[in-house]
Amino acid sequence: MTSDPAPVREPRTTDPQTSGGIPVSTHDSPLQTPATVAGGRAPVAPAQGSTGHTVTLHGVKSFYGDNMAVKGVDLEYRANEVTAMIGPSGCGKSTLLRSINRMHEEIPGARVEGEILLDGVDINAPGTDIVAIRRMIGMVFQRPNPFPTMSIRENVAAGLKFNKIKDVDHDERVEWALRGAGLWDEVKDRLNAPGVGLSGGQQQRLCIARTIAIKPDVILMDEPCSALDPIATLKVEELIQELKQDFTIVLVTHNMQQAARVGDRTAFMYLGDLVEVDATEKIFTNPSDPRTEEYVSGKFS
Amino acid sequence: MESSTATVPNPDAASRLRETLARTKTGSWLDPWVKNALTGLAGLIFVLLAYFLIKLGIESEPVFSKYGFIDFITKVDWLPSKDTYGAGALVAGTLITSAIALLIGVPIAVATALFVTELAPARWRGLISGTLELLAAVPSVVYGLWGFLFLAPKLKGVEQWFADTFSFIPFIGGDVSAANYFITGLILAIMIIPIVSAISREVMATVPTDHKEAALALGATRWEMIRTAVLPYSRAGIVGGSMLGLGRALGETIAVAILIGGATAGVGDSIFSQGSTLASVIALEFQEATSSPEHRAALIGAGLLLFAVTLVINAIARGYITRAESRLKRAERDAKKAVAAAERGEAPKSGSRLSLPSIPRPELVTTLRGRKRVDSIARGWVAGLTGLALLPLALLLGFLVIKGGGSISWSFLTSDPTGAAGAVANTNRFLGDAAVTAQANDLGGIRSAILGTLEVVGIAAAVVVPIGIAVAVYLVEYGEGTWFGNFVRYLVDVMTGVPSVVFGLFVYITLVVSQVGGAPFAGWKASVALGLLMLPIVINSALPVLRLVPQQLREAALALGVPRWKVILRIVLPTAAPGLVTGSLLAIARAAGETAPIIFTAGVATALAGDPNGPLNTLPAQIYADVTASSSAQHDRAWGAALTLVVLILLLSLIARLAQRRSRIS
Repeated sequence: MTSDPAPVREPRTTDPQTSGGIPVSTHDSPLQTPATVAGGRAPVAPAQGSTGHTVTLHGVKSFYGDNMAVKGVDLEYRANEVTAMIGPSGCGKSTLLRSINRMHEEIPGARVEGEILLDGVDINAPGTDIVAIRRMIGMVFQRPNPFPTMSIRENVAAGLKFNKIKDVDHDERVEWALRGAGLWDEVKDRLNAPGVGLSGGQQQRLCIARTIAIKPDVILMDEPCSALDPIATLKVEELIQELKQDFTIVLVTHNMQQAARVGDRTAFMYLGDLVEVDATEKIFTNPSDPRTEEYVSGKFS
Repeated sequence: MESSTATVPNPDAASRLRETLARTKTGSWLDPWVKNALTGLAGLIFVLLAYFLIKLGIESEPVFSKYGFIDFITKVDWLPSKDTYGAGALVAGTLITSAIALLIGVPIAVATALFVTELAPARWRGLISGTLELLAAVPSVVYGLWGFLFLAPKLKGVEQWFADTFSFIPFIGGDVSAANYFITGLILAIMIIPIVSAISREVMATVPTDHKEAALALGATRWEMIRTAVLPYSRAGIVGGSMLGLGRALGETIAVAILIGGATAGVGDSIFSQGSTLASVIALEFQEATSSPEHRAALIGAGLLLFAVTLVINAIARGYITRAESRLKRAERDAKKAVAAAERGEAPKSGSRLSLPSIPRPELVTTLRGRKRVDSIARGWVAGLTGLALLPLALLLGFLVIKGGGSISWSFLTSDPTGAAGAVANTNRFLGDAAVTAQANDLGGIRSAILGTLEVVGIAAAVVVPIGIAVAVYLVEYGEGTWFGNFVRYLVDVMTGVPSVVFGLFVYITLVVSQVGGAPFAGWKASVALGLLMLPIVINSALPVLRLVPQQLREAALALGVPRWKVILRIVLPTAAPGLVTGSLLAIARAAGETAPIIFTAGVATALAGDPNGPLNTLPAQIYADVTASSSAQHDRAWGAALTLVVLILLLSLIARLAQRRSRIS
């Protein structure tokens, strides 16, 4: 297995495809691979495209001290899809999101139970390098947070530089990521200007560029548009649609229209439980749970 | 519902991921090491402070066991010649001078702050607060110099007249001594005005404009607005600032040692008599005490006592500020609750009246004309007191520039001190022996003092600034919310309250007396004393700056797969750098002006000596030696050295301010 002749996972250290814009993905025809899973569960089903990466949650519970914020969630984030997470404030959707790249445990007293599998590998397994996991699972935050001491170029290359990835041409990768984030044309003439000098929407796309520059497998987005105006929001939403060709995306949002616009599937959480997950259209037109119905029709928020 | 449609991860993908994970080198193995190292450094504070207390305790034990604690602090027979040591007169002297300083200094400082924030024309504000900040940078030995050479002789007549006229008031009357409690308290008052005023100004600037405008909109005069909106809101800060001033007055050593006269037996019967404070007696007697173990133990006991008093004062100040803050918060919470209850249609409970913080209640009893008269009188007082604050400060600065500027020349800066102020004579002066009259006209300059100061302060800064910032990093990045973090923060606060003379004494008994490193006095030992003094200042100034670094930046970096130590090194520290530079430079500036710890540890050498393992001359020591000499040539040299020292310190402060401007986080 280690000597796979044609590695479909792009090794993190190869040159980026710099043909311009988002690299062309290679999974046009989904490969139907029958497979078994280690660990006893063996529901045989077709895998998604082989370049994509899946995240599977089994009974995930997240705690703040004794307070259980996420109460046992089973969910699969499919490869190359945008899964939108909706639910009222405090329903645990952000907590769940932060559990997936182990940011949750940065909070003192916080812990996670259950299994979170990235491509079938338990990211919470003892001995797993938490830092390496975060390189595979990137994150975009609620508010744009470019590093204030760095220029636009340095911001995008930050992940490469900090992780000492040397066999990649940083300038090429910066251009690739900025094009991927739809920001290249706006900033190409001032790459050495400070990142905090950009507008809010540009800053957020800069942060997305920073995230994709290290080519993670999965991108977690925690209400990425909540601090942006409608036009900037639209740009980021278009960007998310493009990014899903290369990344598996989990999008937490407060905005149901946004979930309807960009989500391939939508998951509804309520009081720490996953109520329902299904194709976005079904969730918004014909949900199976009455609580989902009430929420998407605006009966409570 | 998921399992029926779940896709199965490609096993190849899993193995490839495992492989990549195994191959990825993240540097996260360093994380626990960095955390442990920083925790260890923070623990060092505990070890240091514990050793400090134990050492002082052991060394002072003989005197406490001989007299008992109560007798030691109440008996007023401090007579080294008869080997009896009752520190009562010193305690009394400390309290008397500090009380005078507070009584005079606090009202003036508060008035100055009010004037600057509320009354002064915008153009004057920067000028007045700038002048006050300038004066905060003047080291205490310079205040002592000015008080001794100018203020005390000038005021003697006034004091005598006052004492004669008001002799019916207790503790006033009799013959006025040139050096006395009152003049000491007055100089202390001038010294604490900048700090009390600065803190008061800071809190007054935070009074919400809403409150002030609400008062003015109700028809309040300016003074009524100040009384109803500004003063209640900033009371906690004013008390806190005054307590800090008190702490400084209690521990002040050199200016007091110069001005108070040094009588140790018996409390003077008037505020115009000679006396001693705990701090001054340590400075004046420490060297002659080397020959008498009991005398030394008594001095250390005095140091311990001083430390205890400062600790109690600081604890009270902190308690008061916290209580005032929580009272404000409680009032706001009650108000919110009451509003919520009113929205639900509940009648407010009697007894829990809506008590918003400082609802303006302008007086309605007087006529408008009466109110206006009160307003203009009050404003006149505030402006007058501000003038009163600026007068001595302006005089001091004027003297410094004129007298000091007069003696500074190229050869003054580039030649070493010689003549009557030679090593032996100077050392004797510290011993309190008879003054040696200077004969020679050519006394030389202050080259060795300048270089020695740079050397001593430089060594201290090079060692302590990194340690202090590291401890602050531990407290912010790892210690927040942990018991150990809180404990270390408390210890740092305790350390902040230790008077510098006590640190000097501590280094004196641990390093100088035992002749560590061969020589008794050494430059590096002064660096140790200054370092101890700087450490809590560096930590305390770094803490808020590090906390200001937005949590989002740390999260962004962590989410990029950066190990925590690298997040600290590459994101947190660079973002905080300008603020850290500012804080450290201000700490260095503060240490550069310290006198007491230096004369205890570096000794005095007049010739140029670059070796930190031997005695070094420093500017503060040079000033202290020259000011207590009787020759006017030496006085002139003291002024020149004082101006040089102040310019040096101001340069540091200026660079610090420039660094602050570069700050990217507000």
